[in-house]
Amino acid sequence: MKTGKHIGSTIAITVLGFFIAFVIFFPIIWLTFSSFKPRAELFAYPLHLLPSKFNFDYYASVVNDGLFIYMKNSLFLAVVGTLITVLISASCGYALAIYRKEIPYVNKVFAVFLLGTLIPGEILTIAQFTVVTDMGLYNNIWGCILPVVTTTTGIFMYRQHYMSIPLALAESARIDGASEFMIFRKIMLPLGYSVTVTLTIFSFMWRWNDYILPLMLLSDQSKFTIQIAIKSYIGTMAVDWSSILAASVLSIVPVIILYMILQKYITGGLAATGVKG
Amino acid sequence: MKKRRKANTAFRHTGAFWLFVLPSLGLFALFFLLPLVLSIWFSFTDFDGWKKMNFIGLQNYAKILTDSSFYLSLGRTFIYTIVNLPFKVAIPLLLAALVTSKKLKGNTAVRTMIYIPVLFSSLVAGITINWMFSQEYGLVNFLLEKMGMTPLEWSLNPTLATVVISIASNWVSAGYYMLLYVGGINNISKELYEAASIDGSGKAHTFFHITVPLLLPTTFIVLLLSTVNLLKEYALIQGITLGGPGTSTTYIVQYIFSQGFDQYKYGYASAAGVLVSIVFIIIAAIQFKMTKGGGEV
Amino acid sequence: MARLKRIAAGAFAAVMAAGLTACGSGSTGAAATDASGNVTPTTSKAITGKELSVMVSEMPSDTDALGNALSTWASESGNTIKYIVVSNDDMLTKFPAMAKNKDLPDLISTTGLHQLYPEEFVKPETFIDLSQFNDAALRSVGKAYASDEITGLPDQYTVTCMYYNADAFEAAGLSVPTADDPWTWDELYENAKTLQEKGGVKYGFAADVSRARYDILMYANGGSITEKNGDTIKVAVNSPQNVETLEKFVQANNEVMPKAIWAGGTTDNPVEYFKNGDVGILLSGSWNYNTFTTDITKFNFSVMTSPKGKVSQAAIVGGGALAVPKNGKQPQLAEQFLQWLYTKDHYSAFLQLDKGPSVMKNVSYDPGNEKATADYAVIQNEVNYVTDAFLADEAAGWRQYKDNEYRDALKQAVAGEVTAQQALDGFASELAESSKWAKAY
Repeated sequence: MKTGKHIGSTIAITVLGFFIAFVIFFPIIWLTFSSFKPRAELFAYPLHLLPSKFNFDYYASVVNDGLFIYMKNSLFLAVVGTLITVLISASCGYALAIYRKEIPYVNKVFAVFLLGTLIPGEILTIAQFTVVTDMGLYNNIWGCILPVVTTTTGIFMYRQHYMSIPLALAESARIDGASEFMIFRKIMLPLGYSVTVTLTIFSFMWRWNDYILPLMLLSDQSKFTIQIAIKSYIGTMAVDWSSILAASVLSIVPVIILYMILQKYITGGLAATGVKG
Repeated sequence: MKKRRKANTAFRHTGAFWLFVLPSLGLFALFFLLPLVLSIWFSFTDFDGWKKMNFIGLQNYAKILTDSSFYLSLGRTFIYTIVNLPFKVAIPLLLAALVTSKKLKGNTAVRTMIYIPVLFSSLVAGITINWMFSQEYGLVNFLLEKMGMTPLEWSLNPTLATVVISIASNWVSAGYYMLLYVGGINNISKELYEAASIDGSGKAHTFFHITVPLLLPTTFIVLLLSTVNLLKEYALIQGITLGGPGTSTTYIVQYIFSQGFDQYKYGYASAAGVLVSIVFIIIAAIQFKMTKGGGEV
Repeated sequence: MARLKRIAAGAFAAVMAAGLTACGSGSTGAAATDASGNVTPTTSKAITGKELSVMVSEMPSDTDALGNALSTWASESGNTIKYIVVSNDDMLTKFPAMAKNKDLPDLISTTGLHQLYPEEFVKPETFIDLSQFNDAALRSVGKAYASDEITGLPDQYTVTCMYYNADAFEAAGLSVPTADDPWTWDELYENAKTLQEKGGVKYGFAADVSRARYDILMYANGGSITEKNGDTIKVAVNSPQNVETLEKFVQANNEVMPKAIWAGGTTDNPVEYFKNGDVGILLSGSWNYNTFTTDITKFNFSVMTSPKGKVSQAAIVGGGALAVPKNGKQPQLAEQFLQWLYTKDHYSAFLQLDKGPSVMKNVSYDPGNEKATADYAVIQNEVNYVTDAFLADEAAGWRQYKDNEYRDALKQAVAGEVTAQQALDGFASELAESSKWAKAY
């Protein structure tokens, strides 16, 4: 009797879960199928989900326009940017959490970083551009990376996480003679891996989707990023929808792959790390 | 001997603190605080982004503060934020409860499908949402028509246009906040749930009386982040309604762009940016105080 | 779990190592980039063996007029082409960024940079004979906003024109107006209603959301943005006849047009509606003709003469120009290409692909088939309806002060947020304030 009820609710929840997921995911299916439609079919009423035949022409043409080169550039931006972001956010968030009891001004330092989320970044673009070019980083991918690697969200996430870890853990390591850096590197960094995985996904996606700074800074076509390339299909006079759709679909593949690889570690038994707040 | 060691330790920790914080703080100072100072300076000038930069005192501020459309867009931004906040918290929380349920088979697939919209750039997200809600060739109106209903005026009715923007905004953020909640739920100890189930507490009861209160720290983060992100909503609107119909979805960052940057009035835009930032900081400070800084629970 | 922790720890070691390597290689790269940058000698002889950098808004295909001209020139002259593709909107951000970093391309295909920043471009009169160009084209596309200087050479020339769905006309029993006997705008709105009722189209009439479309209604009714009296310019955008024009347009939006387009709640393009057979008459630019011939397969379309307002017919010309940045690395190379392009043979070949009106006096386009020839004649004839008021407004250069606001004011009126009178009064005040011109009304 009890098992029957259990199976019943399992089925109900599973059906509900897939239904919700489908509703959320459906626009993407729609977008993807549309990208295979011949141009004339895109706006043809009545609408059909499936194209009359799968047409790869627009994919071929955007690849021909150099899409993979732009994806490669974005990949560099995203990978390097993410590595730096994870490292510096982890150490910063860790320090803000672990020394909060013994150093009085820690929370003031944290408040400075909070400015980073409160002020709409778009407003600072021109001033940022001035600073970056004055440093000689014009037309240099590093000019697109360095200004954006500090993320308040990342620091915040690590800070919250390390605040849930008892200070006693660090204290006992100190008694064993470990240096502050060793404590961070050997004990704390591995303990923060759940945040690391999450931040890696976030950061990769942010960098992959960066637009305005790369646009202003990069001047060689061969250094352009994927978002600049997609935008260039929106002309003032006409919008090349077919190319935009194809390029958009291709542009999301790498982030989806990364998410699929990492997402199982987000679930992976966080509760089993042995320490809790 | 023991005394000396203690003094050293205190020093060592201050040094270590600054060393850990320095990379972030240095980059932040260089690429955020310095531009911020520059922007404040721009706000007292007629800077056009390139050739002209004369000090004009408080003229920009005076002009903004007497511009009725500044207040109108600020007001619209507040309404938009307040109306959307409950959804930004409730939807991800429920989704997280769903995907962490032991009874959900294939939860990896479900999670992935829910999360994927988060990965989209605003540009691509805008295109996708347009494809669904376009008044003329959108799928939603097509389906409504198929079912014998009147197609809705998604781009003509200010309320419906706001609804589309809200759907888009939640669509691209629900998975993100869900992930934060999943982390939070996984942090709640299993024993607690076991104890609850031994006590014969029902599922709904457990959720509202154990899960939700224990997730409060996460909820504070979600609230804080989504408030700020709603106040800053811009890129998505550029891809969907362009601030229309009329000015009904023109929020404050949009105002700064259309009145400032888009016309090379960088001084004016910077001044508006400074004012808006001050408003945002006040709002966040209040929120931060109320939630005790994301909660040292 | 222990295994997972180890993996995470291992990943971090890798992360750090990779981060350091990446940092190292990055700085080397920067040095290499800085080292490049060569100076081109100035000679009047034909330059060869160089790379011409060209900024364009779309990646040119083989059938693109400019792309084809550039590659032909390159192979003939022994130079190569390097494209920088940046969308038109983004060029406004990109160009100052490039200029500040002394990184300008040799040639830009632009819709306005040369008009906005005339001092940044080489004056074409220094290297080409301007008398061979059509004057209206040169003045509307090549001239700076704020002065009389010509700073770019028109290449893609476009004029407003009225496309119509011939099948819908037939179904509704409408006959096509001719240049000798044009419709009035009132008749057009009436007929648009008929098209909606009997022609099988959803909307009788549609127009691009651009002041360069709406303004032909204004000019046709004898209105203008500015009025010039001797040397004084006054803002006239809120004149009674302009208010009336806008009121009628708002009404038309409610009755026969896809209102969402002009009310401004969508990024949709009415051109797509027309292509799809949902619009009876479309007011758009002549450059569309080319794409329509390939994209429209479901119905017959053609071009008709524009309707008459209270005073006259009206047209607006515009388009893209080729401009040579003064501080580019090799302006002479770009000049050499332009001198080559604007010769009879080469420009004829350009027009064969461009299929637009000609900007040169002695060159015209031969469409090759009967229907297209007839359509092309209608389009070319529209150029004659460019009004003096339009040219005077362009000369006044009002657009350097306020451009988007004008369209936004129109949008607010169509959306019903304000009345036509309020919208135009509001914009007139804004324009008067930033231009320091007095208001005439």
